[in-house]
Amino acid sequence: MRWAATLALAGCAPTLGMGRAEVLADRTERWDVALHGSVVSAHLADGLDAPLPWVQPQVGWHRGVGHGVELGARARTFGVPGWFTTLGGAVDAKFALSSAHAPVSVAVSASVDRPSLGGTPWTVGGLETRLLTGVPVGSDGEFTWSGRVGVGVMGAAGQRPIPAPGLGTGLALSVPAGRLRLVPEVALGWIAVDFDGAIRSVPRGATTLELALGIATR
Amino acid sequence: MWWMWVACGSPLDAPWCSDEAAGTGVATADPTWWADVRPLLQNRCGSCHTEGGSTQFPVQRYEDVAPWAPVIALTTAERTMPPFQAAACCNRWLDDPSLTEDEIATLAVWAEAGAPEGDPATAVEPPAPVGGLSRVDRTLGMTEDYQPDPAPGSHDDFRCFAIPWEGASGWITGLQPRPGNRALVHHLLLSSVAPIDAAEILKLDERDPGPGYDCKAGLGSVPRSTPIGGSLVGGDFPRGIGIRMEAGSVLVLNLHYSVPDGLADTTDRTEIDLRVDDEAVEAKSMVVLNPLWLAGPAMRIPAGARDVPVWYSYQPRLLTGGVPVNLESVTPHMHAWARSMRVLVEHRDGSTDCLLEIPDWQFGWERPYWFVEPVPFAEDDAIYIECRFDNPTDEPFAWGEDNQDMCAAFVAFSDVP
Repeated sequence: MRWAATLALAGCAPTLGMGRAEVLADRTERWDVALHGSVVSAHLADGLDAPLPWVQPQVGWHRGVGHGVELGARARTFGVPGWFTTLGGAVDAKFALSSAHAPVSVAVSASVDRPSLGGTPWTVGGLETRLLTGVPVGSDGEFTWSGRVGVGVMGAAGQRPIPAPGLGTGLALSVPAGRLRLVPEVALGWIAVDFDGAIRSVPRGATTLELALGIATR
Repeated sequence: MWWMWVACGSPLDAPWCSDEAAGTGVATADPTWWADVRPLLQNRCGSCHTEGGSTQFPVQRYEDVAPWAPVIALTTAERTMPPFQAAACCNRWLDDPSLTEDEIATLAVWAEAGAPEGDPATAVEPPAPVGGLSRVDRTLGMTEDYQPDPAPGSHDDFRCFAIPWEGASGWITGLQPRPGNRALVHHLLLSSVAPIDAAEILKLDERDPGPGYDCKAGLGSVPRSTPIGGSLVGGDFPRGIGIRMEAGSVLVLNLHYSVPDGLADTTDRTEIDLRVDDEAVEAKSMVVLNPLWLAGPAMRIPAGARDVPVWYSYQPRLLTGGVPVNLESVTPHMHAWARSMRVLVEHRDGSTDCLLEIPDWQFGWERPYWFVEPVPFAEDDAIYIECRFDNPTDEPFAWGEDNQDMCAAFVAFSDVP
């Protein structure tokens, strides 16, 4: 059961999908699809970590609106109805802080995901801020580092909501491939949440490792 | 109520069947020991209350029982004895020793009349006691005495003992716990661990000094375990049901010790009698709970709160394979602060069937409840669990062990023949 709890805590709300620090130019847009894999591991007791793998596809659309501002949305779903499902989405806003040779931007995302393993669906709401720093690679490519902080709230019928702040870091590479870009990403995060209230003398929290391979329009 | 604002939604509308007021029983006229009380007590109480049984106070002889007649009348009227917690309005269970209202009234009238013995010539031959094993094929248990060692400020010690399953594979088709020190052993859970994980469990035992190993985090770092039984009440599993034990697997005896003041220096060595067969109908197991209750404040019960519900509905296709199955038993699990629990089947048309309802939870009498008739469970049915808690303390509690609580139901099921 602790494994399932870790899934609801983070596995269904991928923090990936922004791709680049560079902000889209006004009136240009980008579509992308990505396959996300994640491993969430909750620290339950000394020497007792519970890893949970998860995978889900995601589709995104973003558009430049004015100078140095990009808005967009992402949606994801996976599973077999009646057996196990996830359904979620996020809205994103990205603002250019510097559009020099090495772009720097800040992104804000609000997300809602509803995973279920056959039971009452859990609702996971999240708000996250990311600082993205890019380094140009070749022609129209970018190597991107991001740092992030956020907070999630997990709830369901029949329980009290669980607030869970988190932080993390990620790396992405955006590589042109014809009219498209390949965007592999990796992110490591940590979520501050307790398990089994009585066990107070052991490390707490859940670690998330996320991998994604995205394909985006240029 | 205040909790409605922090817990989304509300529990199932279906009423608790035990909310219906119980009727007043009609006593047998002029009850006596030989004609009325002896068969009743020996049938409903005799499996535990017997010489060498799991508790004190045998009920086989008039001279042992008569002085306790007022206590018997009181405890049966309060339904603290016999300790069967399930509400009779919900379902029918095997080895149900609970008394009818008429029987409780008969005991009350008998006590009020001074516990008359009556004429031995009117004796009614008592039926066999409820419960108990039909035969004992193997006895396993702790191999040395253990002195419970609760943490400072606590009376509770949770200790696991790994017991290798020696010899050939087989099926456990019944069990009867035999607590070594009834004053210390609050209750126990018995689980099996497959051979692939056996070494890991045995290492836990080796690493922890003293007999057994600390069990606060459950069985340890081994996720694949099958619950076999619990409580201190045992018997044959019904309908030829068994739990498969592969050669090389391990039984884990998870003991909850509750150490009363003054008994800190005493020890225990608990054993379990097992009935073992070469063939059986396989019982599978699922645990019904909201996994998120284990995290953070999801099951936080504020200080001073009363009758606070948590609930969860679960469609277990991942475990049943999405095919109809038969539900065979329910084992509830909560701790000391729990007030009540119910477990229902929710059908797709919105109707419900009651699997288990416990209106007045007593931690010390946790046990499996085997249905007299298996409950058909369709592929799109769900299982609903609702637990209610009181918190009379000055501190909130949540999901956990010492001084905290839980809400879970272990449901055994079998394939439809």
